[in-house]
Amino acid sequence: MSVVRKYVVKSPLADLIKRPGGISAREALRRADQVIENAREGCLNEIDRLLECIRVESQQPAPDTELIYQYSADMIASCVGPGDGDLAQVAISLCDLIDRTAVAGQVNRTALDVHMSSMRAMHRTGADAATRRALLGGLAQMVAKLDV
Amino acid sequence: MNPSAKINLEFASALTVDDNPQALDLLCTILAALGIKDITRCTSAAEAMDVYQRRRFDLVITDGQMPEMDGYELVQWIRRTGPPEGRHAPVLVFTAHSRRTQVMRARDCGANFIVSKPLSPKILLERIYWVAKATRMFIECDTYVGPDRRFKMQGPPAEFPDGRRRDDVAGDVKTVAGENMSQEELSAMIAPQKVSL
Repeated sequence: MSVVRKYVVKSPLADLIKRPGGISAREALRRADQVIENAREGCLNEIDRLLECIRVESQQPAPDTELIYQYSADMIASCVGPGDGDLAQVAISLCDLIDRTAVAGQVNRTALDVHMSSMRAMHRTGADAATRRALLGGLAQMVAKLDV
Repeated sequence: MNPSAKINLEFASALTVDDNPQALDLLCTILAALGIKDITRCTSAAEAMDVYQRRRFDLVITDGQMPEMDGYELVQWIRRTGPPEGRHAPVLVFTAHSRRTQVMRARDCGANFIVSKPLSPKILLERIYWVAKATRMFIECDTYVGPDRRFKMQGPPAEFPDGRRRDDVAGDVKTVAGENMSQEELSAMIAPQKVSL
């Protein structure tokens, strides 16, 4: 049986954040949200680029599923805007799909196409909340059924 | 977190690691907006290890999925074989998606928190605040080095140092009652069955 050591570690960060000065959490978040706002257009363009990369790769005779997974994961990181949550959910669903069902060079094309259509519907369109909910619910069910 | 709580990150140093340059840019800019001035950027775990051997950081934030060496392996290195003065640094791992095969690695790597992408300034600030204030025990054993992971669902150990809680069940295994199930009965329990969804 291995020996377990337990001890208390006090992070230097604890003392640093208490030093005089600093800003309120509200002000820090206001500044950070402004950073997100400034980065918004760049992120939207990155999402456009990744969507195109996924589309091109998915149309290959033998799509590289690892590459599609990576594109989709990168897309999640770019979904930082206030309205991007649903798109991030679709990207997560696509990662789930590939993680669960793909074997080397094989991916369920119908499921992939459905994800592509959903991503396009979620990105830079005025799809209402009910439509978005229905799309996400359908995707979750489909990926669950394809689970192996 | 109380919105009016004062937080001073001006004197903190942070090591950030992500192979995606755009995501790294965004993370660093958000950290700067939160008040951190000393931010070191690395685009690979190998580069981060090299930097980490030369200086100490108050906070490490790494991406989980990276080519060659991933963020989980980097955290394990920090906890187990990195410079002794830096082994207990607070570490946050951000991940876009955790593969099924990586979930256990993420749990066992020794990070203070695993946080889902996309990045949210509110979540990031909260986690930084939490790791700064953390009073969790640090655990070292053959299979795990890092903060005690049992705090979320079960609360901290009731009595230090044995760590057992008042509501833990006794460790004694009781005598089996009744007949053993037959192999057929066991097989029937685990046989795949068609279900309607």
